[in-house]
Amino acid sequence: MISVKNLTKRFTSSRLALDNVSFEVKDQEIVGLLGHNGAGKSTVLGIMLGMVRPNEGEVMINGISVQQHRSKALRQIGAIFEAPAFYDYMTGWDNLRALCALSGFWDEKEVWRVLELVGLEKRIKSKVNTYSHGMRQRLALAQSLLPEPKVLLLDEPTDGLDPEGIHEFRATILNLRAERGLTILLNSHLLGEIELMCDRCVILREGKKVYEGPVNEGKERAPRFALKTDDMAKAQGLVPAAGGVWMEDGSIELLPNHEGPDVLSSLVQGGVRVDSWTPVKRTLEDWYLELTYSKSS
Amino acid sequence: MRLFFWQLSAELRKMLARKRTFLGFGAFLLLEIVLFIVFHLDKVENVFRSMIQRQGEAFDSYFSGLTLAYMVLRLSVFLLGGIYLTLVAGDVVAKESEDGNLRLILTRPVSRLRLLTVKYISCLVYTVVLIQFIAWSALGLGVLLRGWGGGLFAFAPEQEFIAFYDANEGLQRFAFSTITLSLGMMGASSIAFFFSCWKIKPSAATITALSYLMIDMILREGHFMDSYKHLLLTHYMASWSMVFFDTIPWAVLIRNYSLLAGAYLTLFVFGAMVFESRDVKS
Repeated sequence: MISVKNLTKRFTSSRLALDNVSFEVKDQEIVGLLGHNGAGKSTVLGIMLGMVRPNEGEVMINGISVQQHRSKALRQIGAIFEAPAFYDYMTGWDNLRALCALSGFWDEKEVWRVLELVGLEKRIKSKVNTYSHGMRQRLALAQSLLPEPKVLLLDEPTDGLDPEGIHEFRATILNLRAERGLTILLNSHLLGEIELMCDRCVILREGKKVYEGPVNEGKERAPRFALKTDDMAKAQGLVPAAGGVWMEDGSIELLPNHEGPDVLSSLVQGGVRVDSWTPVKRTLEDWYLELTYSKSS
Repeated sequence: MRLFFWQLSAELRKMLARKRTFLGFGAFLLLEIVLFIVFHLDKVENVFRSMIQRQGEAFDSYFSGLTLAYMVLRLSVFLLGGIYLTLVAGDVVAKESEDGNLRLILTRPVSRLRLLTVKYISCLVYTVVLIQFIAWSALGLGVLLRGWGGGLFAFAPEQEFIAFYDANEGLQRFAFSTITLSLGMMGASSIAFFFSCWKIKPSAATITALSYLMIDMILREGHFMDSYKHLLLTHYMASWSMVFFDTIPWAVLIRNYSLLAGAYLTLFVFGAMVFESRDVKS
């Protein structure tokens, strides 16, 4: 559904904002775009919406190039940004009318249906400057669903929402995927959000893609153990034969088809006096930080 | 085409929903009232009396609601017209860019050129509406104060003319002048709109446009530029009062307004080129 091909973007001559980034989002898939501030996430979204022009590469939405046929490609997209900027002096309803006019769409029945879906039908005739952040975000979601899009691009959509708001928003997005079969690209730096919502994720670091795959891979990777012994050098020499890999942080990662007790037994049999052998619990955050920071340092 | 008019009406609704737009109308009405009071001060009235009587005409016949409306229109547009038009047109793109509205708008399947065309035309419509408001509210106030009747005494130093018309012809000329003045003042809106397309703050767009107009006008007033007046935009913008000439110089009017139309189109095209090349990012 979304195909990002070899995107390169240079805002100034010295810094590459994106360096040959490619990834795919399949039909009805929810993919998270992760990365720290300045990693290039928003630039990718900007290019997807034709707001930012890439130096190289292109984005295809359902086979249509955004760079060559922007309007046609964007007919299939709805998008939300963090802190969406509406016309505060107008009502929510008038904002929707103004935005929908640009798409050449207005069907009051459909508008009310979407407003009910996002829970804004009672306040839609109030001025936007009286809305809370959560209500603005609901209005943003409503406008992104009008007219019915196939793809939803969400740029840090839960920023500034309270926990209840985040929960509601997440539930709404998941419902939308289930009911309308939407394909969703979620740009966020909140790992928990990505973990709870996304099937896969793409991680960017300094404009480069460093990972594309299942979110759970970080947790499902080979188990690790922390070894405490007086004879580290000897243990390090024995680890490969025992079925493990000695890691930079001093832990031992098991090779496929090897179990912790077997590796431990091999070390003991090899003459290593083991003081302790503890499994290392690796969170998604550890995995993410490893990908985004340790490689760059 | 239907979609275009729909988008244009949405843009106009958006423009009219802003307080600033109405403050403009209110400010002009206030200015007109002040000017009417000023014109009724004895010493000011005496100046008009001597001007009219020097031409051998009766003061009571020509110091009418229509004459006052003409004077108020001239002065209001000169004093505040440029400021308000550049303020609104300077905001149109730059303010939306600054506030982040542009980012939301550009998620929609609409080309930048179409978006800009809609915004530019809405600026031109606003120019016409504002000038018509100033003109007809001035006439309304004039008639309210002086009653209907009496002729029109019109003069313009920059065109070096003085003219007297009876009420009917005066009203026709006055009505025609509101059209030529609207077309002329589109210059102020077009310059501000052009600067608004750049990646600058809305106030910078307004100030730059106003500065350009001021410099252009000062150069036009300086005699050393007499041979080069044809290069100055305000020279053509001032053509509006030619409709008060005894014989309207149609050829000159058509030439001047064609040149203005060319200038407006050029400003729009260059503005669109700048806007097209911009990356819109938070």
